[in-house]
Amino acid sequence: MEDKEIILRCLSGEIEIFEMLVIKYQADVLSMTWSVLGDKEEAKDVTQEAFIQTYLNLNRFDSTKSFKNWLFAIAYKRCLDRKRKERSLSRFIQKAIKEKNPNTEVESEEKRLECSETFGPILNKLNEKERTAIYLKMSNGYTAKEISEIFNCAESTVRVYLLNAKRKLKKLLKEKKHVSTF
Amino acid sequence: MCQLFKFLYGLIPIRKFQSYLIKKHFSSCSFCKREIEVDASLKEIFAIPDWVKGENLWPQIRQKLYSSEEKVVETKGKFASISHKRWQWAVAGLALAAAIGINLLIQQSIKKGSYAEDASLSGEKARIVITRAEINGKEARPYIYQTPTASFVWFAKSEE
Repeated sequence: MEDKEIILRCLSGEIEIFEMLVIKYQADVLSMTWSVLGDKEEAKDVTQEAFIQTYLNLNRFDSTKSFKNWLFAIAYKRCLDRKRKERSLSRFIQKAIKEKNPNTEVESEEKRLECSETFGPILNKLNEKERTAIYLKMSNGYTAKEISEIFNCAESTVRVYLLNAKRKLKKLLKEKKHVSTF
Repeated sequence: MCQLFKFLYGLIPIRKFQSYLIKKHFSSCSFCKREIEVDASLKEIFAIPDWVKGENLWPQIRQKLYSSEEKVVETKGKFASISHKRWQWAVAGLALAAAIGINLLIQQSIKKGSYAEDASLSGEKARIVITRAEINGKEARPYIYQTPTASFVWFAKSEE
């Protein structure tokens, strides 16, 4: 059954048929949210929220466009919201800790993610947008134009993200190879 | 070398020739070979992780969808009752305004009516009829001049 047919049936009130869309896209969305957030549980939460938001807004879906892209755009926006909340919370916690103990060094969110083993040592070197852009390209075969629709930015900006990501990864892979040969 | 390959690839759009060209070029060009290797290792890095493949989010999503549907219905109900109440207030306000307006109009028309009545009455009152007039025992001729607000009456001796 095609996506558009499933959507039409969902709009007529059949909630259960939405399972087909969830089953079809959950792995792609989940790995994308994980590539942005870097945390399994959070990625699962955000993916669920994205599917629910998608279902509740199905009447706004433009049937001339790709459902997958629309779903990815919603999921990506939810990831950014989550990150924003996290950042403000971590800033608040840092401030509170510093006020209590002015001499303690507090680790920033970026630094924490960089040092974590969530994505492995290579992907941690990329920033959030570079990582997501290259992920969408490599894992889902998305073009720069499609990624720009998800990011809601210019195609040229996405090309820059992809270029930077590829350059960094190439360098890292080269280093890794160099290290492993010795 | 890559430029020449690109040029030839675009120049002759025959599938067999293009695939031959690709094979030939990629077997000899070290730059493109490296690019392919990089792409292959990137695909490995970005492959969907195993833990993701084993996940099924539908039960949780289903549960949340049903509860959110209920919430939507509830909020719609609330909104409907709120809007219903608002409508009631709006209708009541309009009815009150209409009643005041009608009352004012009636009062105005009553006032106008009374003025007219007064005017007609005053007109009747002001209508002067002189049946007989005499000056020094002789019959006199009456002259009456009336305006809406005043009446002038005078008599003249008859010339007989």
